[in-house]
Amino acid sequence: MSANEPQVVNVVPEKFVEVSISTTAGFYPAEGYDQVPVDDKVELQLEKAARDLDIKPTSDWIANVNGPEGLREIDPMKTYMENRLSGQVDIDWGPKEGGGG
Amino acid sequence: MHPAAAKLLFEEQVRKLTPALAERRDWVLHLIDFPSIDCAFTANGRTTLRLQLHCDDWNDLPPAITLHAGNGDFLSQLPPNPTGVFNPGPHPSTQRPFVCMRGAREYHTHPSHVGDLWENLKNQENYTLGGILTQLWNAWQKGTD
Repeated sequence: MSANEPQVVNVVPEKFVEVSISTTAGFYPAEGYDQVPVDDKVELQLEKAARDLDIKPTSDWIANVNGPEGLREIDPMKTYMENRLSGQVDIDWGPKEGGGG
Repeated sequence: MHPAAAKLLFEEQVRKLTPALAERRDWVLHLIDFPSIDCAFTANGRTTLRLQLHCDDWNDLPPAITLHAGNGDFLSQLPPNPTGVFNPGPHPSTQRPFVCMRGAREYHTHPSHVGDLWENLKNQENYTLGGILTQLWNAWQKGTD
C-alpha cells in the first residue's frame, strides 16, 4: 500500500456494554460493571438491581445517563443500542419528582 | 417517634448516601449528621442549589427543607424551574421560598395541601431520605440555570 492510498478501517459494532446502576439504596453491581449485550433491554438490568438491592421501584422511577449534553433520560423498555448507549454506561435510577405548586 | 428511634432510622437511610453516589450525581454532601443533611446539587454550567434537610422526629414528620446558594446563604430568589417544585413563596410559616412537593414539611403544612397526609407516604420507597433527595435532584435537573 502506498503512503497516499486511503486506509480502509472496518468499524465493528460493539456487541456489549458495561453497565453500572446507582440508586440511593446502593450500586448494582456493588463494584465495577456488568457486561451485557447491547441488544438487551435496559429494564432487564434494572430488574436485577431491584432484586439485589431489595428496592421496590414504582412506575414513576426514571433512569438517566450523564452525557456531554448533561443528564439524559433513557427508555428502559428499549435496548442499550436503541438508547444510543455504548462503552461504559452509568445509569442513575430513582423516583421522578412529585408534583409541586 | 422516640428520638433514639428517629436517629436510628435516619442513620440507616443515610448510610447509602455514599461518596460514590455523590460523585456519580455531582452532589456535594456538606453534612450528614442527625438530624441534618446539607447537600448541594452541582452540574457544569448550572448554578449550584444547596438544600438543608432538618429531620427532627423522622419519620413521623417529613423533613423541613430550606433552600440555599452554594455558599450557604438562604435563597431569596429561585432560579427558573418548570416543575413547580421550587416555589418562590413566601411560605406562610417560614416567609421564604420553599419546596412545594410531597415529602417536604413545607408542602404538608401549606394551607393548600394540609389534606395530603405525610402519614400516607412515609413508608414508601420514594419517601425515604434518599428518595426525597432524588426527587428534588430530578426536579432541579429540569431547571435552566
